[in-house]
Amino acid sequence: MKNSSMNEMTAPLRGFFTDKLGRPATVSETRRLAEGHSRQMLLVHVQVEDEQQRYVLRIEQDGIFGTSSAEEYRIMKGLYEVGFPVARVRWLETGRDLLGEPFFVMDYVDGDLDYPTGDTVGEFVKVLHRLHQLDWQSAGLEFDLKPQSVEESTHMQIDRWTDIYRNASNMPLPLLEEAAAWLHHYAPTEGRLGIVHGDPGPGNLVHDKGKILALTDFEFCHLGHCHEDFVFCATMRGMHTLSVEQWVQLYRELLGTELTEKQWHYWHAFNLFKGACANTTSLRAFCEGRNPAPNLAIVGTAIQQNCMQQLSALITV
Amino acid sequence: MLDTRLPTDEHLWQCMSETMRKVVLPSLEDPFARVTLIRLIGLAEYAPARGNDPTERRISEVVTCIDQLAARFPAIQQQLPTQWPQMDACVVYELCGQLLAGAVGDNSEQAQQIRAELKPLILAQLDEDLSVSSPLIASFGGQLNEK
Repeated sequence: MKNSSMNEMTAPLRGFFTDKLGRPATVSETRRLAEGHSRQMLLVHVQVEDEQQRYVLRIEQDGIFGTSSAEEYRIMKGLYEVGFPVARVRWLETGRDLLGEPFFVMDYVDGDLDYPTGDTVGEFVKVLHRLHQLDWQSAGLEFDLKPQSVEESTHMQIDRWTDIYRNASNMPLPLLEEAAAWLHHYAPTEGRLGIVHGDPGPGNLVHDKGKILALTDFEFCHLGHCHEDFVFCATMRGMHTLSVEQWVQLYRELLGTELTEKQWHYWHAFNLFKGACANTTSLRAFCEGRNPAPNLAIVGTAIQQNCMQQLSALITV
Repeated sequence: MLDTRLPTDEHLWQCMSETMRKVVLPSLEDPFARVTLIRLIGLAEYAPARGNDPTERRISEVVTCIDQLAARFPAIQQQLPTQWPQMDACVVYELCGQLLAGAVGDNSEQAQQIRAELKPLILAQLDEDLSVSSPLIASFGGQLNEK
């Protein structure tokens, strides 16, 4: 589904909501909620008799980043059911008949999407920690990859991202091959296996009056080592909110967590590798003409190359 | 003498970039449309800056480097595919990736030389790409590059 075709969704969505809600529904307004490269996020106002309801549509974009709506939907559903702050998911459409892409629908969470400041940042860190500590087995959460340990999970994730890049790229990328081997070689053998968000930080949360109402964007969520999230947030998604040193201080003060230099180095490389692999899918969608959007061309060239350059600087012996 | 019968690609890209900068962008108010247009301007300026396709030259550089390594290290010689040296980019880069990956965690003379000779070459090729594409990073963030 391309950005330009938002108006074309109104008619199919009217039928969709009428069917799902069991009452005649009309779509009174559809607007972009946030810019996403792998998912289109739309806020949809649905009129059901005298009542107006608001939903969010999360629509896949040509397989970009190689993630699955079905797994994301399943994880969010499980998290909601155990009281974790996420939007309540309603319906999943795995087919392409309706909107041309798989999508799911969730409740709209009315809050602030802007980057948090002050104490709200600390509240976010606590919520992220809660996610890491959550007993996913008791909660009945089902992940596509089912590692038995942190070590196994890390190897699985490296292989997953390597496969995604190899499937997307028509040419081997030697620096990514080297990075994959390096990450396998130095993979941590210790640590608690927990839920990793995969893309945590400012921009992927809804807050209000200092409270975190919901974490969003669970497409990269998996079982793994929580250090992946801490480093990702500090060095990538959260870099415009706090300095790396401030994030480190926050982790230490709020959670008593402090990564060694070696751990930080490893997970920074891991996250850059993940980004570089994921970004190759953008170029493929662009070059095949499936989605000729400017953002995909840039993510697949300059952003991907920049990721690889930073990554290679971390890959030493 | 300038042939004015047909515009060159360069003229056409310049026309697009200038028109988007001076006419279209000032008239846009929607933030998403503005960011999208700034990215498009970035791409219109990136396209003519790329020059000729460097693939053939780069493959030749990698083949030369691997040949030099293979001449000194029999294990690399044995890894060369049949019909080497061939100029198929996939075969060359696949071997290059195997050599770099195989050198990880290895402090042998061979691994050190792979890191000292082959890796800088691949990094130089990446730097070459980035030297042209890097203005797109600002475009991606919605910043118009200076001309």
